[in-house]
Amino acid sequence: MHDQEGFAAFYGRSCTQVHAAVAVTVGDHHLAADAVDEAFVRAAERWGQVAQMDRPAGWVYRVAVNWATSWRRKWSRRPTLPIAALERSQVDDLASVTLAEELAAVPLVQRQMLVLRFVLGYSVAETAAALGVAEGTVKSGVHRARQRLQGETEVSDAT
Amino acid sequence: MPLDEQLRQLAEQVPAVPPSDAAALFRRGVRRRRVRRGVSVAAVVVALGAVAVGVSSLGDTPVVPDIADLPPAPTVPDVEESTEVVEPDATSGSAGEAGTVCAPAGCEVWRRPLSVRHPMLGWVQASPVVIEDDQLVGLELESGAVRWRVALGDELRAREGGPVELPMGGALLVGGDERVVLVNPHGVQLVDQSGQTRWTRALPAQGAELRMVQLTSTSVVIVRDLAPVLADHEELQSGEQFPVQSVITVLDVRDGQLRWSREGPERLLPQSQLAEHEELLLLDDDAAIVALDMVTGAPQYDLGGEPDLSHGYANGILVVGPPGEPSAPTRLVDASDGTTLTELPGTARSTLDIDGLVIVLLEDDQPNATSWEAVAVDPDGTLAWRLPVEPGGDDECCPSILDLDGRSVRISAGPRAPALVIDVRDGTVRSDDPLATTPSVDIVQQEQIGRGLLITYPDNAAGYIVRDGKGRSVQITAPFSSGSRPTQQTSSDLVLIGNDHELIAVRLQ
Repeated sequence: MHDQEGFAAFYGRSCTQVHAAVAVTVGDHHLAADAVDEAFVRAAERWGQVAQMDRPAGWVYRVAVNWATSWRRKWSRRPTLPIAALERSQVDDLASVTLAEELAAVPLVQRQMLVLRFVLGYSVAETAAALGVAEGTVKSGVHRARQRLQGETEVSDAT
Repeated sequence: MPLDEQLRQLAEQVPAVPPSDAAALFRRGVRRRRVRRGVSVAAVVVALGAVAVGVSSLGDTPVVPDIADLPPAPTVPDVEESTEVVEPDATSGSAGEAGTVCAPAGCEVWRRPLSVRHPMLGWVQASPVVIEDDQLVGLELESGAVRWRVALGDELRAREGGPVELPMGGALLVGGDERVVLVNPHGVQLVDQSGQTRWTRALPAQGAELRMVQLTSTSVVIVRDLAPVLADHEELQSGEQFPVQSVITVLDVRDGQLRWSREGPERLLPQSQLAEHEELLLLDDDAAIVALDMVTGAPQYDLGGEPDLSHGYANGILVVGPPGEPSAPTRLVDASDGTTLTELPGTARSTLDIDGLVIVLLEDDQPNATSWEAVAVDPDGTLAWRLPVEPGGDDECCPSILDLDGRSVRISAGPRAPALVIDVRDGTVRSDDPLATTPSVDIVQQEQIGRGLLITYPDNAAGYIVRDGKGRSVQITAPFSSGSRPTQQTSSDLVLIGNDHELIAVRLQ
């Protein structure tokens, strides 16, 4: 019962944020919802280990993104439209619409780095640990993603 | 506005979803842990070279013939009454102009609208079969003309005598070399290449939603859902992927007689796969791959550890890896007995069976970088050759192994990544690449649809691009629609694309 209470508390404080992070990463909030549920079930399955992690939400986030991309590889012949494109009527901020579409063109690993750093607020070291890569890889990945997004933005502005 | 602030705003705009019941999620996890402990014993035994039999989700469920639930015998209709063999109708496929000049880059040969109610497409030999006005219709490959029409059997109608429920009742049309089979939740109909119905068969009421159908050389395998598996106090929630208890029914392909039927794995998920190996039926669920005797339904072995059949079966080898788990190796498993032949580092992203070898493209996520590698193994798991592959720029899209001519392959980690053209016999790298020039549009997916043929889906959603190993290509304008999953069939230079709306034939020149 103690484990279940601990898991429920973890779920309660992190599910919304992880869902948003996964949705931004995979560009589909419905798929993200399924993926996050699946990832939390896997977390429950291994709760003894996951509870000991410094950033268990990062582990759930990564498993959810992996599950979503694995599912999409199997079943989707075309990627789902970015969130903003699907939800245009609900989004007033056109800058974010553009960003969501441009984000979809950023390689997945770099997208994960951006989301972990700036949506979940992880440090470089925490991001590296969550993704299982070196800190230098995170720094260079974030840098390249920034360059790519800024380049896209400049092109968009110019047109 | 700074990028980090824009990202946070974007995350805040994600529509909220109702939170799931944390206690239910926890119970599901605990239940999986119990199953995992069960199958981990099997995994250890398999690793030692032995065969583990029926210890996971299939349990010791006996084979349960449900002949009593079935009508006494399949129906064999009077062919003369049920089949209309028609003279080729040149107007059936529009734009079917004989002698059309396709140079220099190929052309559309014919196009035929598909029924909105029945946008299904099957194949018998190389000829397409569609459903129109509650009839199965066989078409000429070269012209799109109607070759034959056959009425759907009464066994496929709802029990209460209502109209044929296609596709609303969930139906699948699966073709083979000499026959095509149509299955819906009520019944099965098998039609041969000349349009003659060989038999029809009503299905027992057990089993609701049709999940998978496999037409093998000896059997028709039908997997239907029973009901979600819920633990105590669990409630079904919209959008949640509960495991589903399934029922497997296997019929003799010759006469439709029931071979066996049994309740199947309890953890079937939407992405579950079905494969055939000799006299074994292989099925993956969320916890294991199970192998059943095709003749009796008896469990032969199962593989635990959340294996994933998505990279499938090739040349007697199962290429399996746990989905969603970083850094887990890919296992090559002998499909005959479930023994592990070898393990390869990384995640299998593409697999090909060619010239007696199994080629696997692996992505290995190391702490400092992601590396890619192509590995060729013999059917006994012996390494034939391995070569590094340059990574792609986008790891979501389209790693591929393309069979160019039966002896050489083109391997790439993505449509923009440098490709290797390899002679599979000795692993030597060739200098020529017939597909070196990639389309100028952004590519969201591509896949092989025949020897040396690659279909590409550009992100402008305007159609498809087909390219071949001779450097030829043709662009097809056709709308994408939500949920459509184009199917393709090729014969020599003619390529057919079917989606929700229409069937399109193009010729490569």
